[in-house]
Amino acid sequence: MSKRQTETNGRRYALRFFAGLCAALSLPLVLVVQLPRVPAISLVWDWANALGYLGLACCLLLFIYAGRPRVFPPYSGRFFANLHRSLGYVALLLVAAHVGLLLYDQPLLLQHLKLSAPLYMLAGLAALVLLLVLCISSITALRKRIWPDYHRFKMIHAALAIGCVALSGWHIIGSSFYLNSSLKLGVASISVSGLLGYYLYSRLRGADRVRRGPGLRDSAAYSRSLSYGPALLLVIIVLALLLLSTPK
Amino acid sequence: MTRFSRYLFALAALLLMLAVAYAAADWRWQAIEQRPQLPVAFEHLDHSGVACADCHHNFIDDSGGGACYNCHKMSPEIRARIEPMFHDFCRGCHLTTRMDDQESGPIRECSLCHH
Repeated sequence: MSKRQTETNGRRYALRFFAGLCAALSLPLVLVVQLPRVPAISLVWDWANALGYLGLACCLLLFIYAGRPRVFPPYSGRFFANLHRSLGYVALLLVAAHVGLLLYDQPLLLQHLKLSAPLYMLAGLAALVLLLVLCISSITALRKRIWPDYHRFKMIHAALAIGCVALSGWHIIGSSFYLNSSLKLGVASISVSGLLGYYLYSRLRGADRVRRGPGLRDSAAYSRSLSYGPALLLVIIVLALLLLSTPK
Repeated sequence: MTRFSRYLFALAALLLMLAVAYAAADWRWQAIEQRPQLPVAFEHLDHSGVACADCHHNFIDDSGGGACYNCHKMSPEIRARIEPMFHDFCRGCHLTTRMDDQESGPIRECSLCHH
C-alpha cells in the first residue's frame, strides 16, 4: 500500500471515529432532555447544565478509551494514550464551565458549595475535586514522583475514576432536574452500570487482542483534534438548540 | 515497606477517613442549624388556584400553627430538611403545571424566588 493510500485510509478512519465520538457524547444529552421533554429555563442555565452532561459523557467515554490500544480506529497505541489524556482535559474543562456559568448566572448557588448544602451538591463538588486530582496526578512528571509503580497508579486512577462517576451520578439523580422520570433513571442506570461493568470485565480479562490496520502511520497527532473537535462541535450544537428552545 | 506495615498503614488511613467523615457530618449539622434563612418572595394571590390545605397542611392534620417557618425552621426534627422540603414542594408543583403547558412559578432559577 502506498504512503498516500495509507494516509487517505487514516483520514477515513478518523472521520468515522469522529462521527461515532459525536454520537456517543450527544446521546446522554438527547436522553435527558427528552423522555419526557424538560421545559426550557433560560439559555445560560440550560447551556451550563448541558455542558455538565457533556462533561460526564466525556468521563464515561474515558472508560472505553482507557488509554489502551483498541481495534477501532486502527491506530497506534500512542493515539489511544493521547486520546485518553485529551478527553480527560476536555471533561475537566466542560465541568469547570458548568460550575462557572451557573455561579455567574445564579450567584446564590454559592450557598450550595458550603458545608450546609444538600448532600447531592456536595457530591457534585467532590466529583469535580476528584476529576481535578485525576487530571493533575496523571501528569507524567508528577505521576512518576507520587507513584513510581505504574500498576499501582493505574489501580488507584481507576478506583478514583469510578468514584468520580458514582459521585456525579448522585449529584444528577439527587438534583432531579433532568433525570426526572423512572424511564430516564432506568435507562441511565443500565447504561452507566453496563459501561462500568464492561470496563471492569475487560480489565480483569487481561489485555485485548488488537488487530492492526495495514501500514498505518503513527497517528498520535489525530487524537487531539478528535478530542477537542467533538466537544467544540457539540457546544455549538447545544447553543444553537437552546437558542431555539428558550422561551421568549 | 513490609506487607504487615502496608496493611497497618491502610488501616490507619481508613480510620483517619472515618474520623474525618464523622467530624464533617457533625460540622455539617451545625452549619445547617446556623445558616441564615434566605428571603423568599411569595405572593398569595398568585396561588389562589391552589387548595389552601395543599400548603397549610396543619389545618387538617393538627401538626402546628402559625407561619410555615415556625415549625419548619424551629423544630429540631425537621429544620435540617427545610431546604429540600420547600424546594421539592414549590418547584415540584411549578414543574408539574409547566409540563401541562400552563403558566407557573419559577422552577430552577434561585433569584426568581430568593430576592
